Amino acid sequence: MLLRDAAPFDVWAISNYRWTEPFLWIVALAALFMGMFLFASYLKTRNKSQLLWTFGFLGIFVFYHTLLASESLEALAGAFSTSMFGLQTALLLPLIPGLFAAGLCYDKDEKLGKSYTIFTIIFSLGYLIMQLMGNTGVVPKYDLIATIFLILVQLISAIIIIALPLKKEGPLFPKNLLTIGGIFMLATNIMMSIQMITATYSGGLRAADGGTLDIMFAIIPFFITIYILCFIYAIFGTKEFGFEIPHVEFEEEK
Amino acid sequence: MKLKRNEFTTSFVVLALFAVTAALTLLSAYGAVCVTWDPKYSEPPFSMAFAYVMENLVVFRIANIITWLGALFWGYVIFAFLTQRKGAYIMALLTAIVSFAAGLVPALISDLSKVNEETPFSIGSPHWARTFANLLVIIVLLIPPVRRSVVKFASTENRFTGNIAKQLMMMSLFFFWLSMISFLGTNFMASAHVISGFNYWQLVEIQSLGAYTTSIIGVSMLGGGFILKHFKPANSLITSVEGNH
Repeated sequence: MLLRDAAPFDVWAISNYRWTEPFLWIVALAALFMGMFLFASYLKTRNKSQLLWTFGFLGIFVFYHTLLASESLEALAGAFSTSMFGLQTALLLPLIPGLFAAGLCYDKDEKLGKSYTIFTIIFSLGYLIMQLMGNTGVVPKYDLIATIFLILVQLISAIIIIALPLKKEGPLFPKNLLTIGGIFMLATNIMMSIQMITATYSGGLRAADGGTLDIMFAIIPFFITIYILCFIYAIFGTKEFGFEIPHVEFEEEK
Repeated sequence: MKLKRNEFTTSFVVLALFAVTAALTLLSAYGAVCVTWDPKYSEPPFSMAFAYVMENLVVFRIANIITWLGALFWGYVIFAFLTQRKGAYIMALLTAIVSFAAGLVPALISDLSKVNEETPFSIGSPHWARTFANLLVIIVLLIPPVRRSVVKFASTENRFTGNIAKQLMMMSLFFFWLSMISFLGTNFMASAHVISGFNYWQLVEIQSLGAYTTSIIGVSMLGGGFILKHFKPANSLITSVEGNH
């Protein structure tokens, strides 16, 4: 037996998925750049959608940066994460899609935007409380309730991100990149949600080592890269969402 | 000349890619320092584990020097893109090609050597990280719409052009980024070097030194930029309109 075989395979270690590291770094850094640009744009336009998307992009930066810095994909496990890094960062899991969806709702109608922002905040807080209660170990099934809260926000947000851009006036491309991005986001969330729900009944996500989890972790970072790049191009690459930079004039496409 | 929105977006995503490639190249440069330059590694037991390095020491040393230079040169490439330097695109492509070659050769030597089959982790892998990152840059830069966007971006006048204060402040961010990566590297590289319960990672000194050096350079550039700004007031953030700054 080779020594290499003797070393246990840690399904959570990012170093086991070498191709994904550069992609996650690009996602984190591009999201930071874009968050800053969107904030500059918000200061000029006072468009609330852009403020929510700013927080969304900064949330993406914090989330994926923490994944990389902790050298672990634990945060993707949400309420089932066992590390402090993972647990803290997992709080962004419902907030990121929620903020993007709320921004789109604001773009359509201010009342709808306000309602969806409140919904996202309440359910994210609910997720946080249930996650912490589950983490104390007093009632482990709270983890499942936390996961249901998380799935609810992620599912509704993904549907909004997929459906709302299609209803917007103007040419479909590249505006409908948001729809494509939303589909990839939905696929990522569904994959993780199935793992989380089954984990509740099978002794935790750790029991899934060597199963489907490593295949998913090999795929998920690529899906994440695709959906975030789609969001970036849809929001910044078109005039539909009103992105502006102070003292910059863009050449508008017909 | 004005930029289209998607050209602006593409260019900044590509600049993020350059910064990431610089960071991975720098981490890779740190990673090979002990084996390549520390005389301790030419004696047993290290010389047995790293026999393939000792046999190709000249190649590994040249690759390591190129890797260090490549990591820092990415900073100049970003600078060139933001300050309307001629040949910024070619410069980026050449840097990626040279860094790719300097990663590919040691990676192949490491992975093809027999010793790797008996070690608990693939020793060639750290070389692959920078090799893949630079390969990704080459591929991305050769995609026609991306090439058109970044070439146009590099030839468009912007707020950094001709203003030393702002150029200093902008490039300080690049050094802060390298510094942050070096500090973080001390965290996650240590955990990647545990073999049979023993941590073989030995680069805390050089990596910390690198982190402090890059942060001092960053602080000096930022400070210098602020001082110079008093003599030459700032103008708009980024402009593509001639005479607007």
